[in-house]
Amino acid sequence: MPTVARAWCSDVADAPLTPLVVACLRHADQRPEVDPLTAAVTRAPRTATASAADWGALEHALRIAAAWSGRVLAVAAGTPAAEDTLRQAAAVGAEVLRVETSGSYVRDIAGDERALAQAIVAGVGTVGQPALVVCGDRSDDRGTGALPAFLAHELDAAQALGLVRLAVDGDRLQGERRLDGGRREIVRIPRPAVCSVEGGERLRRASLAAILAAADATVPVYRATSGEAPDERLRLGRPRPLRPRTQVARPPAGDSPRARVLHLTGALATHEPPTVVGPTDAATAVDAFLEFLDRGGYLPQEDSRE
Amino acid sequence: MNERWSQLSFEDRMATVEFRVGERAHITVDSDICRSCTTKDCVVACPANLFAPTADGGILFNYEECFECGTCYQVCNSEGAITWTYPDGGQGVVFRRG
Ligand code: SF4
Ligand code: SF4
Repeated sequence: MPTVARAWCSDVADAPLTPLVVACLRHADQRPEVDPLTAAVTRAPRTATASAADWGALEHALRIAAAWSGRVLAVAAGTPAAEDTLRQAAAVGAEVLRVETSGSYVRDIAGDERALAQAIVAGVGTVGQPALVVCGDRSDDRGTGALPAFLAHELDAAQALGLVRLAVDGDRLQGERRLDGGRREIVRIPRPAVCSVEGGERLRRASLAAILAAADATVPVYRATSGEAPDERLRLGRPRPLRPRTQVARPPAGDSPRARVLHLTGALATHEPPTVVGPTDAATAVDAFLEFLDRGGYLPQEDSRE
Repeated sequence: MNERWSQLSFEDRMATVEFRVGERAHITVDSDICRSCTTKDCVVACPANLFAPTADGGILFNYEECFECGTCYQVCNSEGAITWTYPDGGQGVVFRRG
């Protein structure tokens, strides 16, 4: 069967020992509409594609594979709609694979991403053992950022997450990561590794001929057979307003309802009566302010006597 | 804000209810009487923060997000400063059961 993989990487696809660099893409609507009242999310399949971070991951994968003389596999899990995204990846020279996952969005969100990571690793395993997996550090659809860590666990690989820069350093990789307080950290990453990158890198443009050829190509599909059951420990409910726990409040002291309400609210006990100073001229405002400071004992004694 | 309500932020407190605002103001405040009030208890006591002191010593009041708790009427000690009624049928605060 002619596949996108063969059509676009015929020069490297037959070389089994070249390192495999995998880019994980998530096909999702980038601008879903959220009803502010009911929190219902409406997705438009037409505008669905990968996020900027995912495309950045693919660009990193292409550059690193070129440096290692390796090959690139773009993988997306999901329904046949995800093939649109994969065809864009094929047009810039990646082999592609769609991992067929069943289950609705709600089931998906209730389960953790471990099952998804298992399915992706099993699918990638049919193509080869990856030397590097690059993911976007978040997606617009759910985007928990947990998938790269689960992938690293499944592959028994090193992980470096949330990178702003990823470069080849001989056989290893060098990544740069943000730290608190505006500092950066440079990390050396051994192979095999799973890295997630921020969306700073722009994907190269595909030629028109490549886009047209990829549009008709067949995308290979891997059907995951196990590990798709959602984690039953998590359950989704209806969105509801916040309802704090009930607390036992001591009955307020006081003989009359007014005394009790005053005690409850602290209307007289805990404050100076509110006053509005102004609108007034600057000199009067300063006088009022100094008087307030004096009254509160914030000024040294000699100042207050002036 | 007032320390006494600090377990629940003001925004969260307001978000737990819905207001069906009626045409008629069910609470009115006579700012002329408030001018001679020295304590302004209502400003601190109202959980919905509906009383605002003005520069001339009076009170600016807005009835639209009122919980109808009656606190302002209870704490105010000035005869005639607050006229308090419930909103007309079908209007006013709607408490949810969470
Ligand atoms: S409503 Fe009552 S407590 Fe509030 S300012 Fe007027 S007189 Fe004072
Ligand atoms: S009834 Fe309660 S919520 Fe309404 S204005 Fe008075 S104190 Fe505020």
